[in-house]
Amino acid sequence: MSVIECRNLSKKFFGGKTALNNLTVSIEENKITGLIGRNGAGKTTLLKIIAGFLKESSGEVTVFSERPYNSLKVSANSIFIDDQMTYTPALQLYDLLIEADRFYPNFNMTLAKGLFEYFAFDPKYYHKRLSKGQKSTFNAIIGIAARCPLTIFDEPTTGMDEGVRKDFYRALLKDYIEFPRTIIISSHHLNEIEDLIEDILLIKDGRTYLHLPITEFKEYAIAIKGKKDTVLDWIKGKEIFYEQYAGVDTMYAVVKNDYTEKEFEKARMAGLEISSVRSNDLCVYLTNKSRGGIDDVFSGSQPV
Amino acid sequence: MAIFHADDTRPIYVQIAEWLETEILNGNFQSNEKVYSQYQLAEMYNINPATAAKGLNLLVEEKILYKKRGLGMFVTESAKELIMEKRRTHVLTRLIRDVVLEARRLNISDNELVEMIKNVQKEEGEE
Amino acid sequence: MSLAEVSLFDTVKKQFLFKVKANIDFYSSLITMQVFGIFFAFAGISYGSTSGWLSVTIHYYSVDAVIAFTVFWGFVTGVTILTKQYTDTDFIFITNRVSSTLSNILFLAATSLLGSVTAMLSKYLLLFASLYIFNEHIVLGDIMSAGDFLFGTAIAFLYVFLSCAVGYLIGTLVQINRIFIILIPALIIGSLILDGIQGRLPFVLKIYEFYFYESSVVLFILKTILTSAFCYIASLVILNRMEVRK
Repeated sequence: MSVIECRNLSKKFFGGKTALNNLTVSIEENKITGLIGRNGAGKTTLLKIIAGFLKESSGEVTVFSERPYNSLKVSANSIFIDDQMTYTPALQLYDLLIEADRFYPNFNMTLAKGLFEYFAFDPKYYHKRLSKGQKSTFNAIIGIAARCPLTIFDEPTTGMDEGVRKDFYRALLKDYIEFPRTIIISSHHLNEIEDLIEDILLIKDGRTYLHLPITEFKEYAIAIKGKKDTVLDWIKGKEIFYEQYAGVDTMYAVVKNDYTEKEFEKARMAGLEISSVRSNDLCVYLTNKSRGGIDDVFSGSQPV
Repeated sequence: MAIFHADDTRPIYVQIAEWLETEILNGNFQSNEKVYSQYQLAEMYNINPATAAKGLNLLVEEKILYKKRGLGMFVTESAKELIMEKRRTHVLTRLIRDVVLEARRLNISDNELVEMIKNVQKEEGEE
Repeated sequence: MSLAEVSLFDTVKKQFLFKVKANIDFYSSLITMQVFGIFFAFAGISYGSTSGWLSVTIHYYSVDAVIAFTVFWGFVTGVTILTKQYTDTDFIFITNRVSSTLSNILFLAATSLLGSVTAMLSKYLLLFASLYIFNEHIVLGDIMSAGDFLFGTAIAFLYVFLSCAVGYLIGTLVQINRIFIILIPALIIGSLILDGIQGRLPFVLKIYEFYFYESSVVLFILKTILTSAFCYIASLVILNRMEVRK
């Protein structure tokens, strides 16, 4: 069953900027989806439309079979965590937890308290005075403990140090196992969340570029390295995502992986090195405007 | 998670399947004994349960595990043999192919290669 | 996973209780305004007369100034409660525009009532001060009956609540576009000047008279309640179309 359905979803902002451009996607219940895209690809806009904060310009969007904009049902069953959360300055951290508990029907106060103490928060402190990373951590506690059927984290680890990030993702995973729900996490850094997520949704220029299980994504492309002519011969007719040159005639190419095991064997025999591509790198290649990346900018002025 | 080699580029679910195979080979799981659930594996390896399930399903496809509806995954009677057979054919073949290719690139003759293998065997035997 | 069914009533109740705890700034601004009002009341009307050896000074202490300041507070609060800072904190927790607006109205009503009661009670503060602090000798207080007190409070409440409603509508317009911050005062001053040039009774004064010189209590109640309702409904219609947490 799908929890979120977007069909030809577009969002144009006042002033003419198009954030989403005919995006179509369907997100299934109780899966963790990683939303990946470059800055300005439309990640936050998409998430805020799903949460009901922003209004779509055209197209169709449903969350729990209802249009999310201004929907009480969607608000009651979802939570949106980002680093812009402004809590009332009148309440102390612990009182904010109590308020969250009062509002969210599934809120797990025991878990919230546990995490609150683990991350050494002072109950009498104020959110406004926390550091950037501490704010993100506090928001994350609310996000996990709320146990909303739709939990949205938009760049949740901003400012967190490495250790806290790991703790956060582990806490999220453990609570997800105990209490399965639909979770969307957006991030610039796929490597941070690739083990945690089930599906990856890659958006580019306001559209769905790829949406598939992360295990398939990891085998989506393959890297080939070797003599330029041999490599070129080998990747002829394939979808090339990235190419790079080194030395006299060494070429490195990342192409779509639709080779058979036999073909790989032949390639190895021909002296080509075949390797997998790190998912994070693949994301960058897929969302690059050109196949050579930043090198293309300089290639015009390079000595021949 | 330190359970993985950081430089292991193979998919995690494959790594999990192999780890379970090793556990079976080592006798940590007997025939018809229940193995870890996808959720236990997910917690252990800090990965999504669906990914863990894919590792388990890989072993079901290879008839190393079998499913009991609602109860979990169990080790088949022939699991140990199948794993050994697989490792012999797959793993060893792959390793040997890499060795042969590298030798060819370095212009090492077949005889020299065989000699090198024998030397290694001798060294290991002395230990 | 089963979805939670929440009722609008329940959400409004939770949001209201949240606002009672969270919007403490409005209480302190209320106290500040009323203190100002009391000062004005002391500086209020006094008549003096001397005849031979006898000198009499009569002070009139009235809570009108305190109520006027409370009315002004209501207007400012109505505008402020719609600023991004307050709206965004609503949407951290469960709500939609309807429950957010309804809980705001409830909050404004509750604080208006509180402000009206304290404004009325300030009369006693004034009398007390004149007796014991300023050592004035004879106090001719028309000590209010409970009925008078309730009536006075009700009228004061209607003024303050109306002022909140007008503020709320203007606050809504400001949320659409900041230009209204300049536009609305400009329109008022412009009309004053225009009316002045043409020698008419100022339009703004007519509005003032419409509400404040009404001699029929029933008509006054009708006028204030209908106008407040109009302001809130118009605001809600507009707010329903506005995006949040941008």
